[in-house]
Amino acid sequence: MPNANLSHDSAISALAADPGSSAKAQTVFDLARKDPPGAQQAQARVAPAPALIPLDIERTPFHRHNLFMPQMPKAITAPVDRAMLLSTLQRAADAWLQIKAIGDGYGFANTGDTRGQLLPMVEKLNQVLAIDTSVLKSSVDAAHLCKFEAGATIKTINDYLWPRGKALLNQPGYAGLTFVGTMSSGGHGSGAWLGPLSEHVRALHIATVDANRRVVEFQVEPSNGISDPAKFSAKNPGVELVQDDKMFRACAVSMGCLGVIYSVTIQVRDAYNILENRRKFRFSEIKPRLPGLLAEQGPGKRLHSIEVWVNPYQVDGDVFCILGERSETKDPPRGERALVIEYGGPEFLYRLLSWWMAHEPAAVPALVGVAMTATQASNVVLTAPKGLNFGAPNLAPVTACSCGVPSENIGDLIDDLVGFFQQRAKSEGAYITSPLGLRFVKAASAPLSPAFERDTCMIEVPTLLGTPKARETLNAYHDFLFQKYNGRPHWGQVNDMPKDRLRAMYPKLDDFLESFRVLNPIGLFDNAFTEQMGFRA
Amino acid sequence: MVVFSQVQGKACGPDALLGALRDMKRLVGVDGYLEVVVHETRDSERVCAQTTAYPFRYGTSTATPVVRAGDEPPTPVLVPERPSPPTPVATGGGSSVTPPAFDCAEACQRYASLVETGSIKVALAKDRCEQRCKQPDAAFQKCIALAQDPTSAKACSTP
Repeated sequence: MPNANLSHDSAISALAADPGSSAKAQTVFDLARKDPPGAQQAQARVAPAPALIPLDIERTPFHRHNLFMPQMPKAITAPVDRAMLLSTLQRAADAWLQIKAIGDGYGFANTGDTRGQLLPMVEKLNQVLAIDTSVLKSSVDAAHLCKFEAGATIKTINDYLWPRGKALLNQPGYAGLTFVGTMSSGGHGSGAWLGPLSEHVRALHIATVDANRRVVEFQVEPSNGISDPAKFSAKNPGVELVQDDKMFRACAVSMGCLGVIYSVTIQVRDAYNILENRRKFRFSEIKPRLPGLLAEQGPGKRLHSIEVWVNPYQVDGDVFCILGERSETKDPPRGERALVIEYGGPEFLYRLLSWWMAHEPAAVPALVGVAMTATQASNVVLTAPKGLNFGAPNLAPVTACSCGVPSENIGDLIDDLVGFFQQRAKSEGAYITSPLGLRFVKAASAPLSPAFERDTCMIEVPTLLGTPKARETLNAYHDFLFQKYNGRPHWGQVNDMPKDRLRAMYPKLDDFLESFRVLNPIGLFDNAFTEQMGFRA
Repeated sequence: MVVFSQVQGKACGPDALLGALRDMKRLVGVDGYLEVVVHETRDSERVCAQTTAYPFRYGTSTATPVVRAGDEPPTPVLVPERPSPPTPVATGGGSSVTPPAFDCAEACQRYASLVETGSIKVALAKDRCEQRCKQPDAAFQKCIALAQDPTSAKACSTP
């Protein structure tokens, strides 16, 4: 019987001697997948494993999932109901404490930062609520509405909808995110015919603090909103109904700086299943097909959505990608997904990649390549909630950056971007540890949405924490896309963008700033993010 | 002078007192603090300080101060001189007084209260009014100044 340790040791030696070899990377990958402890022990015989969370991050005064703060908030309260939310807000306002509501802290950006009162909404304010049909206009299809508190996760909402024969219009790739947190930062799903989550919203119930430091509640809807003003006012005397397009759109993507969203009413659809195929191609094969793949998406068309993962480094002389195609189907669920590697993937993989990144980064492209190959699967049918989820618990210690660019001519842009990442690897030894993720989103109406008024490709770059020069690489990536392709940052992901770019990126910035002045008049919802963006300047 | 409700600052560490005072001074638009109380606590691990005070502003404006999110600026802050009342300007053979600038804030507060109800909608109408008033849109200014009721006020926003 072969000695497992020797196999690991010799595989590691072979790849270290020839780090560009996908065959040798395949052997290391297969052994690590089959025997994770053995792989870690073999790696440790060569060099110690790097800390999964670097000490400078671990030692920050406050962290929760991906949210790291350079200071401890003065107060942390998880409201259990609306009354407690309002009283907590009033107490914070009375004490001049700045206020920040977060979902569960999965955002990578400083939008959740505060020195004052932190409100993690996911803990207790997370219920699905009954729709009060008595206040709706008679023309409204209440059967396709769903209302829930701000802490409700995608999973909570799906668990409520699916047994009732309903589904979300779309969802982000991780069901542990709150809908409201994702929506507020411009989050999205996949589908060139589907806008980001903010486009699915029909009403937002918000509590804010007015210029007299008094907490006020309002429900904001589009001008032709779902509520009958007279009926609404009679039934909800303490809640002002504001039906105004500009304010509604500003609030839908507002990063929590216009008040605290208590609940949201969204449009939903009938339940459906997803047929999924994931196949590996040379990117040069997929590039000419991309316009057709986008045009084929939508109701009654061949595809629901696609996702493309591109390994930006050459392996075996070429740039490869995985094309994930999804179609709606009435078939019952069948089969299983293969390995899922987004956001660092399962533990064996992110431990493997982080070790090689620390000790022989030149092997990372080949390892990412074989991991991508392992994701291939055909004719898998999943329920929509599962099919639209990435499929793995996204708990790897990563940081991520995402940028929205116009989806037309995306193939040429990706060629250019691949050249950018290859150049950084060659000149600075700075790699990324995951494929580039391409997801397509329809144009949005919210003035601060990364998809504002243009069909958009969101290009995501997740990178394991501790990756050398990761932050510099992500910033250089942002700069590259901003300067050459008018790229806009995803507000929930790493964003070091200086404020002077804001107006050039967002032509209706003033529409947002109007609501900022009205709903946040004395700065109680300001934080490091609003400072960085210069909203109050 | 206008005195606002109590503000508190907190900090821990080697410069706890300095930090607590800085933390307390996060209000923008006040002229000083009254009845400053400092409370310092020490245990075996660290020193913490807490400060409380009542912010005040000279004059009669009760507008709520803005709470600053960022750090105290490291550079010296220039406090602008208070505007002095308009002075008569001599012209030609006689004398005249510079007409006072149109007070958009006051006119728009009145206008917004006429055209909307509910604190958010009133604040929104006031903000939109002020943006237009400050352009300046002379015809709009005249219209909102003369408006006496909801009908005449709403007519001002008709293009």
